[in-house]
Amino acid sequence: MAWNTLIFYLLGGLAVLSALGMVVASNPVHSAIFLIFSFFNVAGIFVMLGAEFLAAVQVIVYAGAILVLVLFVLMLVDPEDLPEFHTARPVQRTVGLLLGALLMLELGLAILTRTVVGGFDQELYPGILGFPAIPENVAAVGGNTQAVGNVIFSQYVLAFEVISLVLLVGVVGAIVLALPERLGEQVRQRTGTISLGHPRGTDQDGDLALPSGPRGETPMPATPTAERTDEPLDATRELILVRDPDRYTTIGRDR
Amino acid sequence: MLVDLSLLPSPDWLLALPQLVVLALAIVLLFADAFTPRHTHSRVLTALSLLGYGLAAASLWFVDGKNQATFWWLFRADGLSVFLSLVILVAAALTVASAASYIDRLEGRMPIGEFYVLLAFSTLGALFVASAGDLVMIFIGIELSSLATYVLTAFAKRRTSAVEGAMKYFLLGIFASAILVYGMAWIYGATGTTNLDGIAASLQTSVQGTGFLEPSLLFALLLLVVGLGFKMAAVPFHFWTPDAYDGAATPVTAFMSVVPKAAAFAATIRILVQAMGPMREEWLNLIAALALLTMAFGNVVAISQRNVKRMLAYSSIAHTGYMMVGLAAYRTESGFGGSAGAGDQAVASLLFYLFAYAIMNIGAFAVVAWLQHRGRGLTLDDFSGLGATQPLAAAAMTVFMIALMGIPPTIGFYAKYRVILAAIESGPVGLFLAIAIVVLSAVSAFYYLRLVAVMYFNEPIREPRQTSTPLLNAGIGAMAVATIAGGLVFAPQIFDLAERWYRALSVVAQVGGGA
Repeated sequence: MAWNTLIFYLLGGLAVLSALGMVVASNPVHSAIFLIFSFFNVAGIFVMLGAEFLAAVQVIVYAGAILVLVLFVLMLVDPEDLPEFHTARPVQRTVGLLLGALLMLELGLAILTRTVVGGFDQELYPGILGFPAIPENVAAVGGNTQAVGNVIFSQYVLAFEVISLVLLVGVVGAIVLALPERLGEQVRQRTGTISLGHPRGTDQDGDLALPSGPRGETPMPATPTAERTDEPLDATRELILVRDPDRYTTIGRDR
Repeated sequence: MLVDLSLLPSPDWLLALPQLVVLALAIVLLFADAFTPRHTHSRVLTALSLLGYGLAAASLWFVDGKNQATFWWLFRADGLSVFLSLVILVAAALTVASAASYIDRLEGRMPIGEFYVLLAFSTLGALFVASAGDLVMIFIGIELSSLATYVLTAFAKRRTSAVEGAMKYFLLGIFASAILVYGMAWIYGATGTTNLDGIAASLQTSVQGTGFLEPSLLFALLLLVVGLGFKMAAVPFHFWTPDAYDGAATPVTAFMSVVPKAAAFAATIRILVQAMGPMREEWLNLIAALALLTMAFGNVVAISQRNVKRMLAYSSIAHTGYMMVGLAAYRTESGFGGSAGAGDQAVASLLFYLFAYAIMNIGAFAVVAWLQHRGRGLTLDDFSGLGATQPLAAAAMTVFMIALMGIPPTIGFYAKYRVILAAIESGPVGLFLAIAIVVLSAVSAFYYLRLVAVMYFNEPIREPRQTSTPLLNAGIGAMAVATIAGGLVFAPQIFDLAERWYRALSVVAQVGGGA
């Protein structure tokens, strides 16, 4: 028992520390390595809980697939091209810190006081099988990999099938967005900065005067059928690093 | 044995008929896109889409009144799912009508086959949310719907504003999804089930017991409301809305202002009313505060917009607020498994509003698309003198504007009237919200009527280009007629249909037998 506790704290502590390191590290590759290390520690905790299936998935999907993808993308991008993060105003930072602390407090409270609130009345739901997933039931089917398989392909089979549709949409969408309109067309470099927290456009200059000339977005080119043009929009822009937090969004605005 | 597979009953596929029809439509479109000859390509695909949505809507007749759950409680066919599916399918069909010529002719050459396929998948996801019986299905349905909508937003990829809007929508949308699924995980941890009725039963026992509410449940509630608020564009979580609506191609904007919003409200009703109904004292005030904020912000900011698409984006935020008032007016005392009460009026008014909003909002965007066909832009000035040069289009736009404002002969008035009625009946908070709706509708009159004034009282700026868009014309005509006829004649019938949503709560008693 004592060994278990010791190992748990070792794994948990390392996971937390490497997660911290992931956030703090300035080199994105270091961040990725820290993240992998954190994932392995979490997988270790899963093993300790007797959830071997989850541990295997954690290693294969997160440490294996996703992190390799992250590193792959990082290696493709020239480190000189990575945009800087702009830091917020002091007020925003203070408020953010306060809100974060509040959220942390709430989360801590929720974790410390948690219980399962109600029993699940099996008699009310004759169609649902497999509750509750307690150790005896899991052992009866021969381990939790079998138990998860059983549930996925019986009770949750509809959800499982719909997920395959989500993947299909991903494939179709990626092709639509990435395919050049003409074969052989070079994909032009499109770089710019988008602020997620600030809508762009006319709502920022608060001029309410009624009649005036066209403002905001220029009217989009409406080409009729006869004079269709295939010239791609010139989207080449220089990379813009945001140093001044007031210059939020550069895309679609002439500078 | 955890699950004895031989004992499992086989699912009732007929209950999922509308979803299956739309799925078949998506697959057929994928193949038809590749194999249809070039000169009939666009027409065939459009006809197939309209036929598919029509068939799916017709198949709702088979499902209507069944009130059963299947696929081991993952899927439900009840009053709520039927009405929401109707709204979603009508919106999808109207989008096809307003999109066909736009996608084919404007903004370069957009691939119409992929457009219809993604539209069908987005609709399918929304339909799955509408008839979900489990948190897992709600989440997957929302993801299917959103993922297709992200791609549709970036569909006019030659314009950087489209890419920017899609990027914002995508990044903020996946944050919201993560928050939502985290809330669901907490709910599962606290109640031991992801089944909606199971959660309600668990909460019922805990709420009636000691009167002490778990902080973990409140935390979960908070996360869920934040996640759902993003998806339906309620105010502190609305930052993506104007840019995404403005950047997307106009028919896509029409679609994404209705169908993902309907899916978000479907998820909200399923989660908050059906699953967390016993905790309603906790979420009612939260929703009421968000509703007030949303209405006020949307209406006030819409005033300063000169781009009509941005104006309609903020107006759609305001309408989200009106609909949330319908949710905040939910006050059913009978609780889980109960029959119709005062609260049913409230949710029914929300559902009816969603229906009305679908027709009038898609109508307004369709007129904008109609003008773009004729070489006009998106600013207010592009509408000047429309009453003189194109009286029919101006008349249709006027109908949609006064419907969005909520003026009597239209369906928009009846919808707002029902929401206000439900709010007044619900108590002092509701009364305050009702007054807020009236005041803010007066504010909204400014920007809606300004557009009407520009169309009728300004001089035309230039001669419009001549094009023929028969399907779009027919669609706008149908929506204008439906907006007026819906208000004058059919409103009570549609409201009766919406009122049957409460059967969603009694599915357990009918099927379970153990209750």
